[in-house]
Amino acid sequence: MFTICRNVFLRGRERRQRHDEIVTETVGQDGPGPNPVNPVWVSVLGVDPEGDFFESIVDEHIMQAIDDLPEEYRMAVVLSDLEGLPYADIAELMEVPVGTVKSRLFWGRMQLQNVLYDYAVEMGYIAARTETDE
Amino acid sequence: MSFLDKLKFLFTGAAHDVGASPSAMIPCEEALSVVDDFLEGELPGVSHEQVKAHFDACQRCYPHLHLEEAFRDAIRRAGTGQRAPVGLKLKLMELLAEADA
Repeated sequence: MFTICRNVFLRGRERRQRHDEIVTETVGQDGPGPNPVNPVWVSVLGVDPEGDFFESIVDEHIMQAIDDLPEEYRMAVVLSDLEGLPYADIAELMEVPVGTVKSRLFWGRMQLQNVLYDYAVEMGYIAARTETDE
Repeated sequence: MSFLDKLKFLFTGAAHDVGASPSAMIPCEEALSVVDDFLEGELPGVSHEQVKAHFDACQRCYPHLHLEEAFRDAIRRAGTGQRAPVGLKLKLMELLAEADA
């Protein structure tokens, strides 16, 4: 019984460590790569795990942030998140492969998330996470 | 919940593998890598049920899904009643006209 408990505990610890590695690895420049999680989420989870700060951000600022995205990212985000088009339709409209659409959506959303997070911290909607919170 | 499941829960602090057969449970890395596709309803190579089972059971991955949902809700809310920026709308109309031609 002790051996079973020890093995279960060790597997759990290993799994937790692996999870932490997944969410803290640096995102590569060529695409989503091995880490699909925006590192800024790690900060948000420490101070606002429900993501309530999004409620405080005015719509105009969100639209402005979308408007400020590079065109290829902006178009993908608007077509997917505002117009609700599937990947295949966006790919056809933008004349790029579906994989490119997904990559543009990933980077566009990440950029948008970072801008909105910075704005929320600046406006005091969310507390900035400090080293001492780690 | 079996005795072994209770032990797992006690020692791991998470409900991994509880409520789903081990063969159906996908690892955290895989679940997190398909968050976008899961929310779009366009999962490649893995079933919606498998991914949902992981997020339902994994206390550490679920908050990531929740934040992505909150983010998308905020975008949709902001876009309600507002349309795409004028420059983008013109570009889209151009693309649609080209596609029709």
